[in-house]
Amino acid sequence: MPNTTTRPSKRSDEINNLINSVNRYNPKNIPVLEEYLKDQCNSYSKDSNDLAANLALLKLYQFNPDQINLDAVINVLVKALASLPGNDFILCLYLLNEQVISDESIVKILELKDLLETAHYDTFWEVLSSDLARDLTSGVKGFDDSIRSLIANNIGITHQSATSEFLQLALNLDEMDLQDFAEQQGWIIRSDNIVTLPLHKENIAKSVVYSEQIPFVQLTKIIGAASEL
Amino acid sequence: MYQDNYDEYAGDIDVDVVVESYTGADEYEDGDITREIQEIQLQHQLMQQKLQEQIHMGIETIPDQIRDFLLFFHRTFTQGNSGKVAHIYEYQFNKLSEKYFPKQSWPDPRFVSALVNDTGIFLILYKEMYYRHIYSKLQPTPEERVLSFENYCELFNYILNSDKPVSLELPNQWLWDIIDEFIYQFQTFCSYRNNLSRKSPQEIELLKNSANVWDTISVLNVLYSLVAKSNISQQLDVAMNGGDLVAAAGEYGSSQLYKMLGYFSLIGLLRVHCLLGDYTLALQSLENIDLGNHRALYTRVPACHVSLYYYVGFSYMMMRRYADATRVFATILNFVSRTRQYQTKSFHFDIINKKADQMYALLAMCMALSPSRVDEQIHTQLREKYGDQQNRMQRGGEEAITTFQELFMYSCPRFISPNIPNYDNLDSDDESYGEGGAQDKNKGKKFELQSFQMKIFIHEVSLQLLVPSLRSFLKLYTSMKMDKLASFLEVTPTELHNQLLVYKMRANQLKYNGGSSLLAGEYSTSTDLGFAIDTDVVYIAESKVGRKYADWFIRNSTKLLELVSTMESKA
Repeated sequence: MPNTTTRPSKRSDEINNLINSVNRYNPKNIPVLEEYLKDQCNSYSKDSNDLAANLALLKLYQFNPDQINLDAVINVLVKALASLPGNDFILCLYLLNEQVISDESIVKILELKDLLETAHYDTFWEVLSSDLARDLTSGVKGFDDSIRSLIANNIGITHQSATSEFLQLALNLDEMDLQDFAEQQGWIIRSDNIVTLPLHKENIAKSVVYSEQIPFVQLTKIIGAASEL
Repeated sequence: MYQDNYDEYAGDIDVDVVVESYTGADEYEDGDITREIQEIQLQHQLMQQKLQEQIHMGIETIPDQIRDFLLFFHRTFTQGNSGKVAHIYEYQFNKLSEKYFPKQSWPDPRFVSALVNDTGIFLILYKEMYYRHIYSKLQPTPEERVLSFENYCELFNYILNSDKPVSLELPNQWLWDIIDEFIYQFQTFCSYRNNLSRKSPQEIELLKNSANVWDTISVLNVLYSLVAKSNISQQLDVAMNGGDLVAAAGEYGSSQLYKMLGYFSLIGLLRVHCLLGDYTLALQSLENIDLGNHRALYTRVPACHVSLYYYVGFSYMMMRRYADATRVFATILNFVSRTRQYQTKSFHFDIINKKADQMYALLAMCMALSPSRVDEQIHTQLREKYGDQQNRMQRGGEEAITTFQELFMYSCPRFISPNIPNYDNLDSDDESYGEGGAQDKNKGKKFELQSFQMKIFIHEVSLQLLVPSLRSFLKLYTSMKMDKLASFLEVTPTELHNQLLVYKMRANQLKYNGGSSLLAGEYSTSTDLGFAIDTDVVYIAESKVGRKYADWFIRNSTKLLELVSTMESKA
């Protein structure tokens, strides 16, 4: 998973220098970062979200509330939605203020976020189909697919098998589409409409025994004392 | 010809103007003017004399012991005896403060300046202590807030705008206190500035005229400049990854003053960013500061050590990295409880204890959100201090949320807004904040800053509160039908399914795994409870803690040591 410390391949030197220097406080850079945000929204790939750059943009808004561009804030948040269950979204939220998060469109995005985080996937798709929500997310390319893959990911670490009805609802796919999707994910749809998911470390209930790890350095004193005897 | 005429003409006019403007002068004889000048001079002399007298009287009012102390302090300082200066700063100044000035300020800097006959850096540093004392023991007036800021500007200008490193050596404790107090005063000024209720028009006028005072950007600028001047980032990088330390430090960075100020500024940045709600930048400031190192620079000043861990832990908690926060808090609380006996003498003792208590509250929250095991001693302390709250948070529901709120309000830092409120437009500004009387609105506004960060955090918490007793039920079985488990918990099977999905999602946390950046980490499951759903059955496995070999080894080593010594004494 990408995080703020790794530099996404798409980030230019210009942006990189900007966000890693005191230049990031210069309000003249707002358009530069807004432009870069547009690039991020237009490309769909796993590392297309540059959290560090977007946080720098929100920071400039925090210091210059008269220059807040609500559309840009919406795009940053929608982009961050796709990176759940990571912490991108909440880091962005902390930089906003009461007025911004009371805006109708931001409230809608918060609703979507809550539904995803409480695993109410079927309701999520329902709310997303509303005109307002469609409008808000349309600016980000490949939004549905990235959300679908994050839901699939979470089901994958919890389930060993699930009914196909549940998966269809959770992923907002019909029977045919689910077959294609299952193939991509390596899931097997059995004849009794149960889908088996590949097993890995997370979805096996295995008792782990935590053994302590004592680095040798911590024992140097006692060994030193012993050798003096 | 024409030219000449013109000149004459122009000259005439000039003369006229001059004469006109001096017409008033006719009323005075030459003697009068000289007399008047003399009078002014006399008056000036009188004023000077009066001022001298005032200062003289001022000096007279200083108690003898304090006068001797100040003279001694000044002499030691100018001699550059850093060991003695440290002693004066850490012990004598505070002892005298308690004895002579528990509820009043130290002598006026003007008197002190005249007393020691010094207007240079000593005076600036004395003022720094003078205002710090006012902030800690009294209520600073608006003027004092502004003057103290100006004094800090003078101090940092002296240090930063110098052609070559200034030859000044101050104890680490003092350097830390300078940065710490600078940020503290900034923080209090922000809340003072934003709390407009019961402010007189004069106060508002003063605030309006001093918009640059304690401006967020200038405060950040000071900290960033100190960091840049000292090359501290490069120095830390070299210290961690190898290289030429002297070359990395450069002219300024080699001096203790610049190096330590730069280092403490990094921790200052951590704090300021945290107060602004930017937890990413907060942790980024600490790049290459190794939290596991027992000999790291921050360990030299206990207050700095504790403050550093507090803000790092708090940032982690706000970032939902509860496992990391738990680890950070447990480490520092262990340190505090072990060193308590040595700390009693330090004047930071109370501050450290208060911070430690807040961190127990934070730890209680983190443990409720992401159960894990901590050191036995910390666990006992935690049960003792926040046992009730822990139970309430685990029980879930409305009560749990209230408990989270209470603990958060008690233990969070005082957040700040980076911007200046609109002093001219108070009424219309107020309208957007809730209802109620004018005072309530302002109260609400002040509260709002605290509550915005809390609101987001608490909302986050509410999303992941589990059905009470889900965990305890899961722990009882190794496999269970979903609908049966749901009926035990008195929830619908769909609800249970949701909860299990949420539990898994939350258990998967970003965890620090070494390296130079505290932001880095790996996603891993941090829970003592593993489970998986197989269509309609849930399989459960609880993790266990293995044997503690190191403990056993150390215990038996000491036993053997005792045995050997008894045998030797008998032989």
